Amino acid sequence: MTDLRLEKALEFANYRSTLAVQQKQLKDKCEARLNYAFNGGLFKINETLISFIGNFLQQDKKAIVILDANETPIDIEDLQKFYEDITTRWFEAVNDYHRQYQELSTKRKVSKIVE
Amino acid sequence: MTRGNLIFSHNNRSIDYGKIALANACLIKKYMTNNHVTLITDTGTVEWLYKTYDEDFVKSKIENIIVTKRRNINNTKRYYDTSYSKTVEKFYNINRFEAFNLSPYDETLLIDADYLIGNNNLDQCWELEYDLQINNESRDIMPSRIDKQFEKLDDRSIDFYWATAVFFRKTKENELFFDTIKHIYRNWNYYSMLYDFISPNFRNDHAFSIAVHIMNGMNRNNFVKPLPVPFLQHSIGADDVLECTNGNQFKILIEKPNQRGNYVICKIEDTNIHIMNKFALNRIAGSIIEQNK
Repeated sequence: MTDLRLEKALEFANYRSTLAVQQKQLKDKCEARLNYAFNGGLFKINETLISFIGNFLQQDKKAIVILDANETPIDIEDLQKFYEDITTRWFEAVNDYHRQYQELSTKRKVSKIVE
Repeated sequence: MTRGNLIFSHNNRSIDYGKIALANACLIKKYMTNNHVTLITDTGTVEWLYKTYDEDFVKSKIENIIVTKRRNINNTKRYYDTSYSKTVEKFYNINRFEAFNLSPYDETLLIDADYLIGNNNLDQCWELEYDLQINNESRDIMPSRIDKQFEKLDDRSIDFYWATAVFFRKTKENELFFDTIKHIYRNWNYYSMLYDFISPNFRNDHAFSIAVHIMNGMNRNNFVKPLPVPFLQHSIGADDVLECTNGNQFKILIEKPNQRGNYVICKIEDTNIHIMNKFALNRIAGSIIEQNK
């Protein structure tokens, strides 16, 4: 391999490392935003929680007790509000993650990634 | 019910913790809803702060300043400024066990001066029913850099908890918890030997971890719950913070694992981050203050 080709390979490796760090940052930020405090309990919003709650709403339940992230039973007195809150937050966090991820993917230079 | 943030800062000869605390107070004011700030400090630190910044400005960001006596101690700490510079300096910020008694709030978020606030995620801690919230996970901003010393106090010891950010309510149990930390502080040599990480220097994280273990009945249990963030984030002393832009955007040079002096650049934005390179933080604290006035 010529020196020039090696230089290009190392430059690309540096670009990939920088990109990987920034992508991880976006993922961690999204994960942090998906923590949600409600009625004294802490919930990690994910697809399972959303469909679990949605399922009970479809059965016309108004209130239920569920376990939070620390496995503490929490009384959700207003199931509709809880559902709206978690879906809103989920869409906000994941859509932001998607938008920023797409922006990052189009950048081909280290200087552009962190500008 | 009163709510607020509590920061400890005692300068040493190299690090202006007062300025760092002011920078963080500016960030707290900007990003958090419950943003009342109390600073626990000493005469020298606060006088130096007033020499650098206008007293009215300081008080607009830190509403309550409690001056305590800085004890002359032999507790030292290694301060890294990248892998190329290391300074052993006195570390006076060891009176964290006084947080319970000194805090003017019913509900307190105790944060390190160097844990920079970049969003309002921690505002949720006041909404939780949990009276004591401490995290035992902090992620390095370099994903492939895993440091075992932040998982357990030692290979054969107990789980590591971060005293970097702690939420507590003034309950009897929490008073006992902070009394336990004080007891550990006073008998540091014994506890460092008992928990198998023999170290002459007191470290808040270790004392909090031991207290959690004791309060859990010498077991893994649920006396403490995590803060409403799944993990803290940190950059280590080998990294360098290049600049702060737009108030809470930081460009950090992260040292690659096992490659001394070889860096990857990273941009941190809207993120709470614990900066362990205090010299770098000292260098950019002024610009954080300027940008978040």
